Amino acid sequence: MTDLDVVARCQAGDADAWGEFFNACQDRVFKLALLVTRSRQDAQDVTQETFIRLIKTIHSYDASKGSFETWLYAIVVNLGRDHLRRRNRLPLPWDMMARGDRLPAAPADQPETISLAREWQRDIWEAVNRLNDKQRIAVVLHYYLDLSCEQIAEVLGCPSGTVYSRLHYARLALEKELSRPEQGLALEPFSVKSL
Amino acid sequence: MNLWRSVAHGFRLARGGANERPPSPPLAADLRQTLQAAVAQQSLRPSERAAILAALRAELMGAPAPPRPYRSARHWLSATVACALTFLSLALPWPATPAAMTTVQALPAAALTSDISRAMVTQRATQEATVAPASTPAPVLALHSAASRPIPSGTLDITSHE
Repeated sequence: MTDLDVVARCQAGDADAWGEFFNACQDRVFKLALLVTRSRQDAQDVTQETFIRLIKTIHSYDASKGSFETWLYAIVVNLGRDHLRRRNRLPLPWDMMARGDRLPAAPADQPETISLAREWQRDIWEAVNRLNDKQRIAVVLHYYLDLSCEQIAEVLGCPSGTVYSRLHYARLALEKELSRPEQGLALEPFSVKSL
Repeated sequence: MNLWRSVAHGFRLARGGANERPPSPPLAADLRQTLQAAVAQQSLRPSERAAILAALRAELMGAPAPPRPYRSARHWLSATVACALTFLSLALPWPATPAAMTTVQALPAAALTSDISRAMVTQRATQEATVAPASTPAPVLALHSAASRPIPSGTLDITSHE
């Protein structure tokens, strides 16, 4: 059963459909909220507020105007930005975020190689967190959710040229940040992809 | 210079040129992998999920949302410690504050001296009143009582022999 079927049942007033809908979407919503707010508590609040807003506004959703996913992500991102405006928390450190996470097995699964790759990922995470909120959210939507610039523009409610611009300057800032000599790591040699 | 740069940037945008260029592949791949790894292990805990479901159920029934419980042990601990510290601070006697000490020091020295001397006199009188009758031997007491009486004329003055 696709999201749209469940959404249609929710629109028809089926109370049981909301439970199914929550189970289907809560993980996606929470993870996106976590990447936007960078705080677990805020992400939990945003998840709850997102579903409450969906209950209130599901009748206004029109499938002909856009995909349901984009509509859902727009609610999450807007609520997340509200939380960011209200209180600017320090971002969760990499060790708290990716605790116990395992990198994909490499041909040469040496501990030091994995350790270097983890350091590299930590550097990327910190560099992404140093971007301003507009650029960071565009990066998250583009690279985490694989949304196109037009879809991101729909989510953020801005022209697609603005999204291109934000992504472009975000990439420039990341390249500059990650190739700084004091980082001690160059962009190419320790690339996770090169493992 | 900035104006020219933004005009040129606008032209590139209009042409759909420079900003559409794909990023360098390693950075794009690493970004994607990093963001996915960041949230791979993160999910709602069962208690958090239950709390959200309860709020949604209340919303669907049109009832007010249930009050949010303490969301983590850290919240609960900090709230308890804060309460305990508040009660302790109210219950414990505070040491003399610098303001109170200043009041004592600011008393005039003469008043303080007269107070002290008056207190000493009172204390000595109390000691004499309580201690003297018990320590005075009976003959001396008789002698004192005799001496306190008016001496009739023509009798021997015994006090002059002491």
